[in-house]
Amino acid sequence: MIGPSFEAVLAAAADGDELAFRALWRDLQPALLRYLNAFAPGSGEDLASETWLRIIRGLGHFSGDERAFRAWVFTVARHRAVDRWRRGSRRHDELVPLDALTHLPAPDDPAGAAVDAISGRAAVAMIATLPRDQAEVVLLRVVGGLDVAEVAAITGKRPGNVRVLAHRALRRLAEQLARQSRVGGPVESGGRGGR
Amino acid sequence: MFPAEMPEDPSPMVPLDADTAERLLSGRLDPDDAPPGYAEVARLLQAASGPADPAEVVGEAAAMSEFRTARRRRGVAPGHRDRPWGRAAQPPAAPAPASGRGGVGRRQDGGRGRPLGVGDRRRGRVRPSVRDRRDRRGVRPSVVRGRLVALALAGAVVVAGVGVWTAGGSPFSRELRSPSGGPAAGGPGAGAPAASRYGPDASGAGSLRPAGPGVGAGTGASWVTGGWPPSLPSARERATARHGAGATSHGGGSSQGAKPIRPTKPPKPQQPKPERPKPGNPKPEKPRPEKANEPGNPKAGKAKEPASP
Repeated sequence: MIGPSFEAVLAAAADGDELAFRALWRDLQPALLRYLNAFAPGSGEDLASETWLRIIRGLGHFSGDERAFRAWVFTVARHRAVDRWRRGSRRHDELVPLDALTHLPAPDDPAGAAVDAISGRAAVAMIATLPRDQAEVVLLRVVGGLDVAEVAAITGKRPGNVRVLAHRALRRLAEQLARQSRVGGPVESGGRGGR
Repeated sequence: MFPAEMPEDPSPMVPLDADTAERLLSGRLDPDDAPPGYAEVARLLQAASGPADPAEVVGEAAAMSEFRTARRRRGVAPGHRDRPWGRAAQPPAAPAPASGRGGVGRRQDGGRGRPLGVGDRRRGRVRPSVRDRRDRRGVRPSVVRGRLVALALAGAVVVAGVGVWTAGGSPFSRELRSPSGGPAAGGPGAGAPAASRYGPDASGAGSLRPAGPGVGAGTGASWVTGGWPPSLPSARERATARHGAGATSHGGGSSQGAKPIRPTKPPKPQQPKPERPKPGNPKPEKPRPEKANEPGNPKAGKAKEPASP
Protein backbone atom coordinates (compact mmCIF):
# COMPACT_ATOMS: atom_id res chain seq x y z
CA MET A 1 0.00 0.00 0.00
CA ILE A 2 1.29 3.42 -0.92
CA GLY A 3 -0.57 5.34 1.73
CA PRO A 4 -1.55 8.98 1.98
CA SER A 5 0.54 10.01 -0.99
CA PHE A 6 -1.44 7.78 -3.31
CA GLU A 7 -3.49 10.53 -4.89
CA ALA A 8 -0.42 12.55 -5.78
CA VAL A 9 1.29 9.48 -7.20
CA LEU A 10 -1.75 8.59 -9.24
CA ALA A 11 -2.09 12.11 -10.60
CA ALA A 12 1.57 12.17 -11.55
CA ALA A 13 1.31 8.81 -13.27
CA ALA A 14 -1.70 10.00 -15.20
CA ASP A 15 0.35 12.98 -16.38
CA GLY A 16 3.06 10.66 -17.66
CA ASP A 17 5.49 10.61 -14.77
CA GLU A 18 7.45 7.40 -15.01
CA LEU A 19 8.56 7.40 -11.39
CA ALA A 20 4.99 7.61 -10.21
CA PHE A 21 3.94 4.80 -12.49
CA ARG A 22 6.88 2.75 -11.31
CA ALA A 23 5.70 3.18 -7.72
CA LEU A 24 2.23 2.00 -8.66
CA TRP A 25 3.60 -0.96 -10.58
CA ARG A 26 5.91 -2.07 -7.80
CA ASP A 27 3.12 -1.87 -5.29
CA LEU A 28 0.61 -3.86 -7.28
CA GLN A 29 2.52 -6.13 -9.61
CA PRO A 30 3.48 -8.87 -7.08
CA ALA A 31 -0.07 -9.23 -5.81
CA LEU A 32 -1.43 -9.09 -9.31
CA LEU A 33 0.94 -11.76 -10.49
CA ARG A 34 0.14 -14.06 -7.60
CA TYR A 35 -3.55 -13.68 -8.14
CA LEU A 36 -3.30 -14.29 -11.87
CA ASN A 37 -0.96 -17.25 -11.49
CA ALA A 38 -3.43 -18.90 -9.17
CA PHE A 39 -6.41 -18.04 -11.31
CA ALA A 40 -4.87 -18.86 -14.69
CA PRO A 41 -1.79 -21.01 -14.14
CA GLY A 42 0.93 -20.45 -16.70
CA SER A 43 -0.54 -17.23 -18.06
CA GLY A 44 0.11 -14.89 -15.20
CA GLU A 45 2.78 -12.84 -16.92
CA ASP A 46 0.81 -12.33 -20.09
CA LEU A 47 -2.36 -11.49 -18.24
CA ALA A 48 -0.51 -9.03 -16.04
CA SER A 49 0.88 -7.29 -19.11
CA GLU A 50 -2.57 -7.04 -20.65
CA THR A 51 -3.93 -5.72 -17.38
CA TRP A 52 -1.30 -3.03 -17.14
CA LEU A 53 -1.97 -1.95 -20.69
CA ARG A 54 -5.59 -1.37 -19.77
CA ILE A 55 -4.55 0.40 -16.61
CA ILE A 56 -2.24 2.73 -18.50
CA ARG A 57 -4.98 3.64 -20.95
CA GLY A 58 -7.45 4.36 -18.19
CA LEU A 59 -5.20 6.14 -15.75
CA GLY A 60 -6.39 9.56 -16.82
CA HIS A 61 -10.02 8.69 -16.30
CA PHE A 62 -9.80 7.02 -12.91
CA SER A 63 -10.91 8.85 -9.81
CA GLY A 64 -10.89 7.36 -6.33
CA ASP A 65 -8.74 6.38 -3.42
CA GLU A 66 -6.19 3.65 -3.16
CA ARG A 67 -8.62 0.91 -2.24
CA ALA A 68 -10.82 1.75 -5.18
CA PHE A 69 -7.78 1.74 -7.41
CA ARG A 70 -6.74 -1.68 -6.23
CA ALA A 71 -10.26 -2.96 -6.72
CA TRP A 72 -10.24 -1.57 -10.24
CA VAL A 73 -6.91 -3.16 -11.06
CA PHE A 74 -8.06 -6.57 -9.84
CA THR A 75 -11.32 -6.21 -11.69
CA VAL A 76 -9.46 -5.66 -14.92
CA ALA A 77 -7.17 -8.55 -14.16
CA ARG A 78 -10.08 -10.83 -13.42
CA HIS A 79 -11.71 -9.98 -16.69
CA ARG A 80 -8.51 -10.81 -18.52
CA ALA A 81 -8.18 -14.06 -16.61
CA VAL A 82 -11.77 -15.06 -17.26
CA ASP A 83 -11.31 -14.52 -20.96
CA ARG A 84 -8.16 -16.59 -20.92
CA TRP A 85 -9.78 -19.28 -18.86
CA ARG A 86 -12.68 -19.52 -21.29
CA ARG A 87 -10.33 -19.89 -24.19
CA GLY A 88 -8.33 -22.46 -22.28
CA SER A 89 -11.44 -24.42 -21.37
CA ARG A 90 -12.38 -24.61 -25.02
CA ARG A 91 -8.95 -26.03 -25.74
CA HIS A 92 -9.29 -28.50 -22.85
CA ASP A 93 -5.77 -27.97 -21.63
CA GLU A 94 -4.66 -27.44 -18.08
CA LEU A 95 -1.54 -25.39 -17.62
CA VAL A 96 0.46 -26.18 -14.50
CA PRO A 97 3.34 -23.92 -13.49
CA LEU A 98 6.25 -26.21 -12.87
CA ASP A 99 8.24 -23.63 -10.98
CA ALA A 100 5.44 -23.32 -8.47
CA LEU A 101 5.37 -27.03 -7.94
CA THR A 102 9.06 -27.11 -7.25
CA HIS A 103 8.55 -24.76 -4.36
CA LEU A 104 6.22 -27.15 -2.62
CA PRO A 105 7.86 -28.95 0.29
CA ALA A 106 8.93 -32.49 -0.44
CA PRO A 107 8.10 -35.33 1.98
CA ASP A 108 11.72 -35.93 2.77
CA ASP A 109 12.53 -32.29 3.24
CA PRO A 110 11.99 -31.39 6.91
CA ALA A 111 13.11 -27.85 6.38
CA GLY A 112 10.79 -27.38 3.46
CA ALA A 113 8.01 -28.93 5.44
CA ALA A 114 8.14 -26.09 7.83
CA VAL A 115 5.47 -23.60 6.99
CA ASP A 116 7.71 -20.78 8.06
CA ALA A 117 9.96 -21.45 5.15
CA ILE A 118 7.20 -21.37 2.67
CA SER A 119 7.52 -18.66 0.12
CA GLY A 120 4.83 -16.45 -1.19
CA ARG A 121 4.57 -18.29 -4.44
CA ALA A 122 4.32 -21.65 -2.71
CA ALA A 123 1.62 -20.29 -0.45
CA VAL A 124 -0.33 -19.07 -3.44
CA ALA A 125 0.14 -22.42 -5.11
CA MET A 126 -1.35 -24.07 -2.07
CA ILE A 127 -4.28 -21.69 -2.07
CA ALA A 128 -4.77 -22.41 -5.72
CA THR A 129 -5.51 -26.02 -4.86
CA LEU A 130 -8.81 -24.92 -3.34
CA PRO A 131 -11.99 -24.85 -5.36
CA ARG A 132 -11.92 -21.97 -7.81
CA ASP A 133 -14.39 -19.63 -6.17
CA GLN A 134 -12.92 -20.26 -2.70
CA ALA A 135 -9.41 -19.66 -3.96
CA GLU A 136 -10.47 -16.50 -5.71
CA VAL A 137 -12.10 -15.09 -2.62
CA VAL A 138 -9.11 -15.88 -0.46
CA LEU A 139 -6.65 -14.46 -2.95
CA LEU A 140 -8.60 -11.27 -3.43
CA ARG A 141 -8.90 -10.79 0.27
CA VAL A 142 -5.38 -11.80 1.29
CA VAL A 143 -3.22 -10.98 -1.72
CA GLY A 144 -5.28 -8.12 -3.07
CA GLY A 145 -5.99 -6.61 0.30
CA LEU A 146 -9.67 -6.06 -0.46
CA ASP A 147 -12.57 -6.24 1.95
CA VAL A 148 -15.74 -8.28 1.66
CA ALA A 149 -17.75 -5.65 -0.18
CA GLU A 150 -15.05 -5.08 -2.76
CA VAL A 151 -14.58 -8.78 -3.36
CA ALA A 152 -18.30 -9.21 -3.69
CA ALA A 153 -18.40 -6.42 -6.25
CA ILE A 154 -15.58 -7.93 -8.25
CA THR A 155 -16.82 -11.47 -8.25
CA GLY A 156 -20.45 -10.61 -8.62
CA LYS A 157 -21.49 -12.37 -5.43
CA ARG A 158 -23.28 -11.24 -2.36
CA PRO A 159 -21.18 -10.29 0.69
CA GLY A 160 -22.67 -13.11 2.73
CA ASN A 161 -21.74 -15.59 0.04
CA VAL A 162 -18.22 -14.23 0.03
CA ARG A 163 -17.94 -14.70 3.76
CA VAL A 164 -19.16 -18.27 3.53
CA LEU A 165 -16.72 -19.08 0.78
CA ALA A 166 -13.85 -17.57 2.72
CA HIS A 167 -14.82 -19.49 5.83
CA ARG A 168 -14.93 -22.79 3.97
CA ALA A 169 -11.63 -22.03 2.33
CA LEU A 170 -9.94 -21.40 5.66
CA ARG A 171 -11.33 -24.58 7.10
CA ARG A 172 -10.16 -26.59 4.09
CA LEU A 173 -6.72 -25.09 4.26
CA ALA A 174 -6.47 -25.93 7.92
CA GLU A 175 -7.45 -29.52 7.22
CA GLN A 176 -4.91 -29.87 4.44
CA LEU A 177 -2.11 -28.44 6.52
CA ALA A 178 -3.03 -30.65 9.49
CA ARG A 179 -3.06 -33.72 7.28
CA GLN A 180 0.29 -32.76 5.82
CA SER A 181 1.86 -32.24 9.20
CA ARG A 182 0.48 -35.58 10.44
CA VAL A 183 1.42 -37.71 7.48
CA GLY A 184 4.42 -35.70 6.37
CA GLY A 185 3.39 -35.90 2.75
CA PRO A 186 2.97 -33.25 0.18
CA VAL A 187 0.04 -31.01 0.03
CA GLU A 188 -2.87 -32.90 -1.38
CA SER A 189 -5.02 -31.20 -3.87
CA GLY A 190 -8.58 -30.94 -2.77
CA GLY A 191 -9.78 -30.73 -6.33
CA ARG A 192 -11.68 -27.99 -8.02
CA GLY A 193 -15.36 -27.68 -8.30
CA GLY A 194 -16.31 -28.84 -4.84
CA ARG A 195 -17.50 -26.63 -2.08
CA MET B 1 -2.02 -49.63 13.07
CA PHE B 2 -5.45 -49.55 14.57
CA PRO B 3 -7.27 -46.30 15.06
CA ALA B 4 -6.99 -46.68 18.78
CA GLU B 5 -3.26 -46.89 18.51
CA MET B 6 -2.98 -43.72 16.46
CA PRO B 7 -1.65 -40.68 18.29
CA GLU B 8 -4.08 -38.00 19.12
CA ASP B 9 -4.20 -34.90 17.03
CA PRO B 10 -2.02 -32.38 18.82
CA SER B 11 -4.07 -29.45 17.58
CA PRO B 12 -7.69 -30.36 17.23
CA MET B 13 -9.62 -27.95 15.06
CA VAL B 14 -12.15 -25.78 16.72
CA PRO B 15 -14.98 -24.02 15.03
CA LEU B 16 -13.84 -20.77 13.51
CA ASP B 17 -15.87 -17.71 14.32
CA ALA B 18 -16.44 -14.87 11.91
CA ASP B 19 -14.25 -12.39 13.70
CA THR B 20 -11.28 -14.74 13.75
CA ALA B 21 -11.77 -15.55 10.14
CA GLU B 22 -11.84 -11.85 9.31
CA ARG B 23 -8.67 -11.27 11.24
CA LEU B 24 -7.04 -14.17 9.49
CA LEU B 25 -7.95 -12.95 6.06
CA SER B 26 -6.93 -9.39 6.74
CA GLY B 27 -3.56 -10.48 8.15
CA ARG B 28 -4.22 -9.02 11.59
CA LEU B 29 -4.01 -12.36 13.41
CA ASP B 30 -0.64 -13.49 14.64
CA PRO B 31 0.03 -17.23 14.19
CA ASP B 32 0.78 -17.60 17.87
CA ASP B 33 -2.58 -16.10 18.72
CA ALA B 34 -4.47 -18.21 16.25
CA PRO B 35 -6.95 -20.82 17.52
CA PRO B 36 -5.86 -24.45 17.53
CA GLY B 37 -5.46 -25.81 14.03
CA TYR B 38 -5.27 -22.40 12.34
CA ALA B 39 -1.75 -21.37 13.22
CA GLU B 40 -0.45 -22.94 10.04
CA VAL B 41 -3.16 -21.24 8.05
CA ALA B 42 -2.17 -17.90 9.50
CA ARG B 43 1.44 -18.47 8.51
CA LEU B 44 0.37 -19.52 5.07
CA LEU B 45 -1.72 -16.42 4.52
CA GLN B 46 1.05 -14.20 5.81
CA ALA B 47 3.43 -15.79 3.34
CA ALA B 48 0.93 -15.28 0.52
CA SER B 49 0.68 -11.57 1.25
CA GLY B 50 4.38 -11.18 1.99
CA PRO B 51 6.94 -9.12 0.19
CA ALA B 52 7.56 -9.68 -3.44
CA ASP B 53 10.06 -12.18 -4.72
CA PRO B 54 12.73 -10.91 -7.08
CA ALA B 55 11.24 -13.06 -9.79
CA GLU B 56 7.96 -11.20 -9.54
CA VAL B 57 9.39 -7.84 -10.51
CA VAL B 58 11.51 -8.84 -13.46
CA GLY B 59 9.01 -7.35 -15.86
CA GLU B 60 9.48 -3.83 -14.62
CA ALA B 61 11.53 -2.71 -17.62
CA ALA B 62 8.99 -4.07 -20.06
CA ALA B 63 6.17 -2.40 -18.16
CA MET B 64 7.96 0.93 -18.22
CA SER B 65 8.57 0.55 -21.92
CA GLU B 66 4.91 -0.10 -22.46
CA PHE B 67 4.09 2.94 -20.39
CA ARG B 68 6.40 5.15 -22.46
CA THR B 69 5.05 3.76 -25.71
CA ALA B 70 1.49 4.30 -24.64
CA ARG B 71 2.18 7.85 -23.55
CA ARG B 72 4.02 8.65 -26.78
CA ARG B 73 1.27 7.15 -28.89
CA ARG B 74 -1.26 9.05 -26.92
CA GLY B 75 0.48 12.31 -27.64
CA VAL B 76 0.89 11.76 -31.37
CA ALA B 77 -1.74 9.40 -32.61
CA PRO B 78 -5.04 8.30 -31.15
CA GLY B 79 -5.03 5.20 -29.10
CA HIS B 80 -8.00 3.17 -28.04
CA ARG B 81 -11.56 4.24 -27.45
CA ASP B 82 -10.57 6.33 -24.49
CA ARG B 83 -8.51 8.66 -26.59
CA PRO B 84 -9.02 12.31 -25.84
CA TRP B 85 -8.43 13.36 -29.41
CA GLY B 86 -11.16 14.34 -31.74
CA ARG B 87 -11.63 13.06 -35.21
CA ALA B 88 -10.47 16.31 -36.71
CA ALA B 89 -7.17 16.09 -34.88
CA GLN B 90 -6.22 12.88 -36.58
CA PRO B 91 -3.37 13.13 -39.03
CA PRO B 92 -4.45 13.11 -42.64
CA ALA B 93 -4.33 9.78 -44.31
CA ALA B 94 -1.53 9.30 -46.73
CA PRO B 95 -2.67 8.82 -50.29
CA ALA B 96 -2.66 5.16 -51.05
CA PRO B 97 -1.31 4.02 -54.36
CA ALA B 98 -4.02 3.11 -56.76
CA SER B 99 -4.24 -0.28 -58.24
CA GLY B 100 -3.16 -0.79 -61.77
CA ARG B 101 -6.65 -1.54 -62.98
CA GLY B 102 -8.12 1.86 -62.94
CA GLY B 103 -10.20 3.75 -60.49
CA VAL B 104 -10.92 1.01 -58.00
CA GLY B 105 -8.20 0.51 -55.45
CA ARG B 106 -7.82 -1.33 -52.22
CA ARG B 107 -7.00 -0.04 -48.84
CA GLN B 108 -3.43 -0.39 -47.76
CA ASP B 109 -4.11 -0.54 -44.05
CA GLY B 110 -5.18 -4.13 -43.91
CA GLY B 111 -8.76 -3.44 -44.67
CA ARG B 112 -11.14 -5.81 -46.32
CA GLY B 113 -10.73 -4.44 -49.75
CA ARG B 114 -13.86 -2.36 -49.93
CA PRO B 115 -14.08 -0.63 -53.29
CA LEU B 116 -13.16 2.96 -52.94
CA GLY B 117 -15.47 5.70 -54.03
CA VAL B 118 -15.55 9.40 -54.49
CA GLY B 119 -15.58 10.01 -50.79
CA ASP B 120 -12.40 8.03 -50.39
CA ARG B 121 -10.77 10.08 -53.08
CA ARG B 122 -11.77 13.23 -51.27
CA ARG B 123 -10.35 11.86 -48.09
CA GLY B 124 -7.05 11.19 -49.75
CA ARG B 125 -7.15 7.41 -49.85
CA VAL B 126 -6.76 7.20 -53.56
CA ARG B 127 -4.01 8.40 -55.76
CA PRO B 128 -4.96 11.65 -57.44
CA SER B 129 -6.09 11.45 -61.00
CA VAL B 130 -3.98 12.36 -63.97
CA ARG B 131 -5.56 15.79 -64.04
CA ASP B 132 -4.51 16.41 -60.47
CA ARG B 133 -0.99 15.11 -60.74
CA ARG B 134 1.84 17.54 -60.47
CA ASP B 135 5.39 17.49 -61.56
CA ARG B 136 8.35 17.80 -59.24
CA ARG B 137 7.87 21.53 -58.91
CA GLY B 138 4.25 21.15 -58.01
CA VAL B 139 2.81 22.45 -61.29
CA ARG B 140 -0.15 20.72 -62.82
CA PRO B 141 0.02 19.55 -66.42
CA SER B 142 -3.04 21.60 -67.23
CA VAL B 143 -1.21 24.72 -66.11
CA VAL B 144 1.75 23.80 -68.27
CA ARG B 145 -0.55 23.25 -71.20
CA GLY B 146 -2.18 26.63 -70.66
CA ARG B 147 1.19 28.29 -70.57
CA LEU B 148 2.14 26.69 -73.83
CA VAL B 149 -1.07 27.86 -75.45
CA ALA B 150 -0.54 31.38 -74.17
CA LEU B 151 3.00 31.34 -75.49
CA ALA B 152 1.82 30.20 -78.89
CA LEU B 153 -0.82 32.93 -78.99
CA ALA B 154 1.75 35.53 -78.01
CA GLY B 155 4.02 34.32 -80.78
CA ALA B 156 1.21 34.55 -83.26
CA VAL B 157 0.44 38.09 -82.14
CA VAL B 158 4.08 39.05 -82.48
CA VAL B 159 4.29 37.56 -85.95
CA ALA B 160 1.13 39.36 -86.93
CA GLY B 161 2.53 42.63 -85.63
CA VAL B 162 5.70 42.16 -87.58
CA GLY B 163 3.65 41.46 -90.66
CA VAL B 164 1.59 44.59 -90.12
CA TRP B 165 4.69 46.62 -89.65
CA THR B 166 6.18 45.13 -92.77
CA ALA B 167 3.06 45.79 -94.77
CA GLY B 168 2.58 49.33 -93.53
CA GLY B 169 6.06 50.68 -93.12
CA SER B 170 8.12 49.01 -95.72
CA PRO B 171 8.86 50.70 -99.01
CA PHE B 172 6.66 48.19 -100.70
CA SER B 173 3.68 48.96 -98.56
CA ARG B 174 2.17 51.52 -100.84
CA GLU B 175 2.64 49.28 -103.74
CA LEU B 176 1.24 46.35 -101.85
CA ARG B 177 -1.87 48.19 -100.87
CA SER B 178 -5.03 47.16 -102.41
CA PRO B 179 -6.79 49.52 -104.74
CA SER B 180 -9.20 50.34 -101.99
CA GLY B 181 -6.40 51.72 -99.89
CA GLY B 182 -7.15 49.72 -96.83
CA PRO B 183 -4.48 49.91 -94.23
CA ALA B 184 -4.22 46.21 -93.97
CA ALA B 185 -4.25 45.60 -97.61
CA GLY B 186 -2.14 42.66 -98.36
CA GLY B 187 -1.16 42.34 -94.76
CA PRO B 188 -0.40 39.09 -93.26
CA GLY B 189 -3.34 37.18 -92.11
CA ALA B 190 -5.69 39.86 -93.21
CA GLY B 191 -7.38 37.52 -95.47
CA ALA B 192 -7.37 36.99 -99.14
CA PRO B 193 -8.00 40.09 -101.08
CA ALA B 194 -11.24 40.34 -102.78
CA ALA B 195 -11.64 40.04 -106.42
CA SER B 196 -10.29 43.15 -107.87
CA ARG B 197 -10.75 44.65 -111.10
CA TYR B 198 -7.46 43.29 -112.13
CA GLY B 199 -8.86 39.86 -112.19
CA PRO B 200 -8.33 36.90 -110.04
CA ASP B 201 -4.78 36.45 -111.09
CA ALA B 202 -3.73 39.78 -109.79
CA SER B 203 -5.07 39.37 -106.33
CA GLY B 204 -2.55 38.92 -103.58
CA ALA B 205 -2.88 36.25 -101.06
CA GLY B 206 -1.71 38.20 -98.08
CA SER B 207 1.69 36.74 -97.74
CA LEU B 208 4.03 37.61 -94.95
CA ARG B 209 6.64 39.05 -97.18
CA PRO B 210 6.40 41.27 -100.19
CA ALA B 211 6.71 39.18 -103.24
CA GLY B 212 7.82 41.91 -105.48
CA PRO B 213 7.26 45.44 -106.54
CA GLY B 214 3.83 45.32 -107.91
CA VAL B 215 0.22 45.73 -107.03
CA GLY B 216 -0.56 42.13 -107.40
CA ALA B 217 2.31 40.96 -105.31
CA GLY B 218 1.63 37.86 -103.37
CA THR B 219 1.59 34.26 -103.79
CA GLY B 220 -0.66 34.56 -106.71
CA ALA B 221 0.36 35.51 -110.16
CA SER B 222 1.33 39.11 -110.66
CA TRP B 223 1.02 41.35 -113.66
CA VAL B 224 4.56 40.59 -114.49
CA THR B 225 3.70 37.03 -115.14
CA GLY B 226 0.91 37.86 -117.45
CA GLY B 227 -1.45 39.99 -115.45
CA TRP B 228 -2.74 43.45 -116.09
CA PRO B 229 -0.39 46.38 -116.26
CA PRO B 230 -0.17 48.38 -113.07
CA SER B 231 -2.43 51.30 -112.76
CA LEU B 232 -3.13 52.97 -109.48
CA PRO B 233 -6.76 53.67 -108.69
CA SER B 234 -8.02 57.15 -108.66
CA ALA B 235 -9.23 58.99 -105.60
CA ARG B 236 -12.82 58.52 -106.55
CA GLU B 237 -12.36 54.83 -106.88
CA ARG B 238 -10.72 54.71 -103.49
CA ALA B 239 -13.49 56.70 -101.85
CA THR B 240 -16.12 54.60 -103.47
CA ALA B 241 -14.43 51.46 -102.42
CA ARG B 242 -13.84 52.73 -98.91
CA HIS B 243 -17.24 54.15 -98.10
CA GLY B 244 -19.53 52.81 -100.65
CA ALA B 245 -18.47 49.27 -100.73
CA GLY B 246 -18.47 48.87 -97.02
CA ALA B 247 -15.73 48.19 -94.59
CA THR B 248 -14.47 45.30 -96.52
CA SER B 249 -13.43 46.53 -99.84
CA HIS B 250 -12.51 44.44 -102.70
CA GLY B 251 -8.95 43.44 -102.83
CA GLY B 252 -7.97 44.83 -99.48
CA GLY B 253 -9.42 42.97 -96.60
CA SER B 254 -10.70 44.55 -93.49
CA SER B 255 -9.58 47.93 -92.42
CA GLN B 256 -9.57 46.75 -88.84
CA GLY B 257 -7.58 43.71 -89.59
CA ALA B 258 -10.52 41.48 -88.98
CA LYS B 259 -11.50 38.58 -91.03
CA PRO B 260 -12.69 39.79 -94.38
CA ILE B 261 -15.52 38.52 -96.34
CA ARG B 262 -14.36 35.82 -98.61
CA PRO B 263 -14.78 37.02 -102.19
CA THR B 264 -17.12 35.31 -104.45
CA LYS B 265 -15.52 33.61 -107.33
CA PRO B 266 -16.69 34.68 -110.74
CA PRO B 267 -18.73 32.11 -112.53
CA LYS B 268 -16.72 30.00 -114.82
CA PRO B 269 -17.83 29.94 -118.37
CA GLN B 270 -19.65 26.82 -119.24
CA GLN B 271 -17.80 25.13 -121.99
CA PRO B 272 -19.33 22.23 -123.75
CA LYS B 273 -17.45 19.17 -122.87
CA PRO B 274 -16.41 16.95 -125.69
CA GLU B 275 -18.01 13.64 -125.52
CA ARG B 276 -15.68 10.86 -124.76
CA PRO B 277 -16.20 7.29 -125.58
CA LYS B 278 -17.09 5.26 -122.59
CA PRO B 279 -14.08 3.38 -121.34
CA GLY B 280 -16.11 0.40 -120.33
CA ASN B 281 -17.21 -0.60 -123.82
CA PRO B 282 -14.35 -0.18 -126.23
CA LYS B 283 -15.61 -3.01 -128.41
CA PRO B 284 -18.78 -2.91 -130.40
CA GLU B 285 -21.55 -4.93 -129.05
CA LYS B 286 -21.94 -8.40 -130.38
CA PRO B 287 -25.26 -9.69 -131.38
CA ARG B 288 -26.94 -11.32 -128.51
CA PRO B 289 -26.94 -15.10 -128.82
CA GLU B 290 -30.12 -17.00 -128.59
CA LYS B 291 -31.14 -18.31 -125.29
CA ALA B 292 -30.06 -21.85 -124.69
CA ASN B 293 -33.18 -22.94 -122.93
CA GLU B 294 -35.60 -21.78 -125.44
CA PRO B 295 -37.93 -24.51 -126.61
CA GLY B 296 -36.73 -24.68 -130.17
CA ASN B 297 -33.04 -24.76 -129.36
CA PRO B 298 -31.39 -28.07 -130.04
CA LYS B 299 -28.75 -27.37 -127.39
CA ALA B 300 -31.27 -26.97 -124.72
CA GLY B 301 -30.67 -29.13 -121.70
CA LYS B 302 -27.37 -30.49 -122.90
CA ALA B 303 -25.37 -28.61 -120.42
CA LYS B 304 -26.85 -30.57 -117.59
CA GLU B 305 -26.12 -33.95 -119.04
CA PRO B 306 -23.22 -35.75 -117.44
CA ALA B 307 -20.19 -36.28 -119.59
CA SER B 308 -19.74 -39.73 -120.99
CA PRO B 309 -16.67 -41.57 -119.80
